Amino acid sequence: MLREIAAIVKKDLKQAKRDPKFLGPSLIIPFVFLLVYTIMWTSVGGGESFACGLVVEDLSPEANDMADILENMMSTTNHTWFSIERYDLETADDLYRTGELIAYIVIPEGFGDNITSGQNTTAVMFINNVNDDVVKNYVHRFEAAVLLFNQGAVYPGFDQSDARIAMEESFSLTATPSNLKYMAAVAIILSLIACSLASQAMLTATEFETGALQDTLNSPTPRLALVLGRTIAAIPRSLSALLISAPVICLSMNVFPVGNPFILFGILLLTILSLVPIGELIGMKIRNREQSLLAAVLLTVTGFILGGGMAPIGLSPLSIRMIVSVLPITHSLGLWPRVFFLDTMLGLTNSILYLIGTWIVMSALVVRLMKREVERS
Amino acid sequence: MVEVSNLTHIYQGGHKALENLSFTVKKGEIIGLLGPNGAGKSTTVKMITGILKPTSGSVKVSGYEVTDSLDEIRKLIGFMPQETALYQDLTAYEALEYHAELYGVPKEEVKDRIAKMLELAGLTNRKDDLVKTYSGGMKRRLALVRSILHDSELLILDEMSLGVDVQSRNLIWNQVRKMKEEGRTVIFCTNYMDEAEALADRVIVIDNGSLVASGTPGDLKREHVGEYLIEVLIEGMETTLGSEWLTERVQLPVEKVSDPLNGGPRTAWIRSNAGHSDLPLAIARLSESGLVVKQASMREPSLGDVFLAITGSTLRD
Repeated sequence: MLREIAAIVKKDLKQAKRDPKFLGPSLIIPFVFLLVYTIMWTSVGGGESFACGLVVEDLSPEANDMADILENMMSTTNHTWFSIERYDLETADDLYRTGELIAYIVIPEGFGDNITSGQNTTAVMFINNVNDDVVKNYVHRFEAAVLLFNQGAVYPGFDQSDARIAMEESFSLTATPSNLKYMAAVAIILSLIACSLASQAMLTATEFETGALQDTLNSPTPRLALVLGRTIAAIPRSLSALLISAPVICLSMNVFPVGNPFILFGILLLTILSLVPIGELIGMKIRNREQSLLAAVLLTVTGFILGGGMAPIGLSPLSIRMIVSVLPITHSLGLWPRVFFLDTMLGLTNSILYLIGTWIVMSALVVRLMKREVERS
Repeated sequence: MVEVSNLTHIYQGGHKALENLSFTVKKGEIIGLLGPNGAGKSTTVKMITGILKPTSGSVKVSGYEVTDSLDEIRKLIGFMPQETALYQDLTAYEALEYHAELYGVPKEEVKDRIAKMLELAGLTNRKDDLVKTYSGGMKRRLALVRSILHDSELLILDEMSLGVDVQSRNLIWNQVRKMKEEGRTVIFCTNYMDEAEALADRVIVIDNGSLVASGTPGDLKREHVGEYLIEVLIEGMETTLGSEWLTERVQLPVEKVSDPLNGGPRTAWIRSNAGHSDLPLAIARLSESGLVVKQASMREPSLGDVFLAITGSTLRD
């Protein structure tokens, strides 16, 4: 059986080498997404590069304490939503009106006097953004600063041990990437997903178009050898996309994997194995090379968006969550960034088992269906 | 070698492609399955190869029931499908090598056999060119030698000379004849009468999924048409009159009379066993009946005439 497997692998790889059009989607889709995401994210006010203006018009020590708190609040995550930058009122207002500042905070004159005289005092936040999540994050930071000030937790003597409830946070993941770095990481696996699906769909559709598959299926080669041969050939073919996309993304976005390379490779492998039979299904049902390519691209894009590539899957309605949880793309997207940024196996088991299960079940199904499809042709 | 019994196949959607087809093929025979497009020829050979499962009935090859012993059957059969079915991005050599590996040709024989096959197909000089650069004829030749590469006992060819030039067709025909000399059994589907006549020991005529006639080309002609066929172009025959009327006048069986074209002359095909003596007799009798014979000729019947006699339509209808 090894001889037949080797022959199939050799044949598939030669075909891939001579007709590398299958690489197209895997080199276009991730970069388009990365570009769109970067533009979208920066234009709605997300990202740590965005500043919140701070105008301090009062020279009192209280105003100074409040400003210190705002400027030096530490987030327990690595990446805050924005940085605080001081402006005079006129500049802040101009930048706000031109849209260069999403928000600014004013500590007005008399802020300190009001406090020392026992009256209520006011600090004002101006914010203008249509994204509710963005607005909430700015406001929450402002609210937190007010609470800290009221609690007397003034920078640099800030000490939570005196508080009634001391805050000691610990996260399941010890580090979290910025949104753009996260997107860069998932763009890498998106490239692989696009390549796995598109290349197999195109290959199978072409073999149906020419009838060549009939000759292979009509040979005395064991069916297991056919499945294994086609699957093994799909591994280097799919990984070939990463030879171009991964270095470009890593270098241009300055994002590099820190997780265990063997586990990362394992995730890539499982992703390929689980998606190749789906590519086969697309090819055998559509039987047209160009249309199969389109279908594979469509599945890649929708699977990526709905499967948590651009926003947490938990934000989707339950019905959508249930549908996308069936797709291996969702599980690959769940696994990849975790291991890319952390050396962890935490929370990976279910998705790994799901991908293995998908590969086995889908491969068996594909062989069965392929035989039936050839009979119909 | 092949035993087809009461073979019926109904495609999804209810189209009945074959109905109770039965025939046998002896070892070393060349059998031509003749019929128009859609008659059920390809369906028949696909069931012999095991690609299609019969809805009912059975196919045995070398004693093996095809549906039960696919692995054994696949080694025995060489199949050239209608659509050539070649990998376009492989060279001829690679295509044959791939086939040899899948069919378990002994490793030490692979190179020699491929060289021989390339020689047979006249493709030795183009062996390293991609298949997609080949002409239709070259592809058919490659597909043919691929089907015999693994030393198949039974060769099944579906429309072997479809869309090929005369040179390629002669090459393919010579190969088929050579297969017979080597004692192999060949079943081929065709809707070319001359191909069936030139190659087949026995012809099985299929129409609308059923066997309508079977025998050697000579027997079929004698049985259904006669030794000769007289073809006359006549004027003056009423459009309402047909072959029965003409048979009475000529006193020879009239196979068919063509419909008049714009009130012009009609062609009548008359069966004859006496040939040369019947021709002047037929002309005389037609003239006596008040008809004008514009043209008359006599020839040996073809398988097309057999098909016409059996089904009432030409093979291309």
